[in-house]
Amino acid sequence: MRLVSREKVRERMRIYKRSIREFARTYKENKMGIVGLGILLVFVFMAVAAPLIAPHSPREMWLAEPLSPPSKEFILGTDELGRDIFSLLVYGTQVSLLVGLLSTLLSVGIGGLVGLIAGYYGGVVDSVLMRITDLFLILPGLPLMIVLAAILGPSIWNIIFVIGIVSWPSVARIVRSQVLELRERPFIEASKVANASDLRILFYHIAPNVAPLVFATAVLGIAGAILSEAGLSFLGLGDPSHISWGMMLHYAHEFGALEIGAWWYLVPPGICIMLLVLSFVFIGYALDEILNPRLRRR
Amino acid sequence: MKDPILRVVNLKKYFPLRRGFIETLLSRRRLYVRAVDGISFNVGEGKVFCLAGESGCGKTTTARLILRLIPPTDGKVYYKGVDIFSLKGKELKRVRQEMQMIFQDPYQSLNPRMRIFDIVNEPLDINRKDLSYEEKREIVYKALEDVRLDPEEVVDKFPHELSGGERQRVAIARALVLRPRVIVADEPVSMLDASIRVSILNLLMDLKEKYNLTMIYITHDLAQVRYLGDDMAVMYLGKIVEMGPVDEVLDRPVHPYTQALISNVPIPDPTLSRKKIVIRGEVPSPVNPPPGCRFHPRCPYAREICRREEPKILEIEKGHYVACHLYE
Repeated sequence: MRLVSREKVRERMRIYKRSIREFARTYKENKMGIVGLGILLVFVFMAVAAPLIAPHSPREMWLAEPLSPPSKEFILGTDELGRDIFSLLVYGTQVSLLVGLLSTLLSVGIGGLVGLIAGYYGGVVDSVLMRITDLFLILPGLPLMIVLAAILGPSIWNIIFVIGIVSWPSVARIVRSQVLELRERPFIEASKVANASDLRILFYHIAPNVAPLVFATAVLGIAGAILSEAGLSFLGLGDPSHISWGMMLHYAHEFGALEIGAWWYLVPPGICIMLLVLSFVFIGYALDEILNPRLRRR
Repeated sequence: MKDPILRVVNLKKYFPLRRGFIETLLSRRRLYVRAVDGISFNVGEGKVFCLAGESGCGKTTTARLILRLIPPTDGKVYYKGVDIFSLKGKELKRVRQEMQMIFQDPYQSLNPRMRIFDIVNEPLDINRKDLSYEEKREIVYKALEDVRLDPEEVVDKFPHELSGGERQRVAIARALVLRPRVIVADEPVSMLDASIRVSILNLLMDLKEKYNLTMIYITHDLAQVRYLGDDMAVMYLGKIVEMGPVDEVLDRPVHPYTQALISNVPIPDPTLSRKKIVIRGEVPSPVNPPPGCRFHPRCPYAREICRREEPKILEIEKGHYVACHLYE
């Protein structure tokens, strides 16, 4: 193989920089997108700098009386094992973000590939792949996740797998419908005249044209995945070695935080889940508006 | 005449009509759209062969068949004596490099997510793996200069940043980088403003001279045929009705359909007048073409035989062919 010339790399870099600048300019005009991005950056900072922000380790127990209310030392009080709730909250960000991103990556990977192949080849391939997709689509999502999570056992990787497996069909549908429209476009025929292979047409011509829309849907998908994770954890199917916000709600419920009025145990994880999901929804809508050709204003 | 570079023999393309599920159950007979129904012609090396006719007469389908973008129902296309439908793999790739196409709509034929450089460079990327990046860049820049664009200015742009005329120039540059022998141009200027059509047509002719190209030019506009064609064929409902050298056919049209088409071309001089032949009715459906001569329901000279028998294509003068019972 020939080494890519340095000049080519430099030229590419210049082009990419320009694309990113152009995109940033449009994005900046979208208020919803900016708010969403702002909230998300706060959470990302929390997740990355967790050891620096959290005053205690999430595993440190009996720091104070169980379920003691907020005080100077424990700004959000303690839980039933005497752990610092603020620290749990900070570390929980890591879990939510990790599960949201990875499970969406999985669903976009499977759904994208299925959609591309089904849409491009059509015929029998399309029928078979789409019937499988339909099968997954009509399976009731939450019960399936609960069953799978229960069978596979409590581990953060299983949760990611379960959410990914349940959410890929909608991605496949969106991608396929886009591919069906794109493959009839003359530029596809133009590249066939230039001897382009199917693989090249699929990944070089069709995929980049589908990508923006998929990107926007994927960001909305992350919001859904975070909610699913919270739901599964709340039902007690979470990974006990990785405390997440949903799991905090689960324990709060189990140990009667509501009955004794321990609002500091219930409210903060709830608000965090809401804000993080909201940030992804905002960003998703903003991207949709910018990247979806049907909504774009020019 | 020398051996033609391209020979089309009895080419046919029927598209099966899509039907609903119930209909499939009720009747066995499959319906077909006879887009191209047995056409033959020869294209001499270095000539411009024009295919003229109204929309829906099968011109574009013919172009797509010649480039093997769609499989034929029947018939053969010989390029330099080789049957292109029998080619596979490497051989097909080699022949395709020598035959390139310019599409009708420059807004649709360029990938909106690719930079102009990548668009023009793509055929080289695929077919000329022996070239280095610098060599390919040189060819791309040269091709863009050939179509009178400033390479430095356009290479980084996306198609939507260019005007229609500029885009069509890019499409032409892309068709030229592989040094093809034959260019199939499918109404390359019909989507462009009238003001830039002539410049694109002149550009095409200059490039044809410069690189000694053979061209199949598809259009519904007889003025363009006159402007750049050497030979021409007039198509009606998937069939060739008249064929011959451009001057011969346009000055002495013999088929009633050709006569009607020509009489409807506007004359720039208002003091001159020409009797317009108005053809009544619509083009019949290609799913169910009329029996006999396909033009008979609209033909002012239709006789009994036209309703029954399909006319054969006959040479009435040297090189001038017509398919009409009036001349049998």
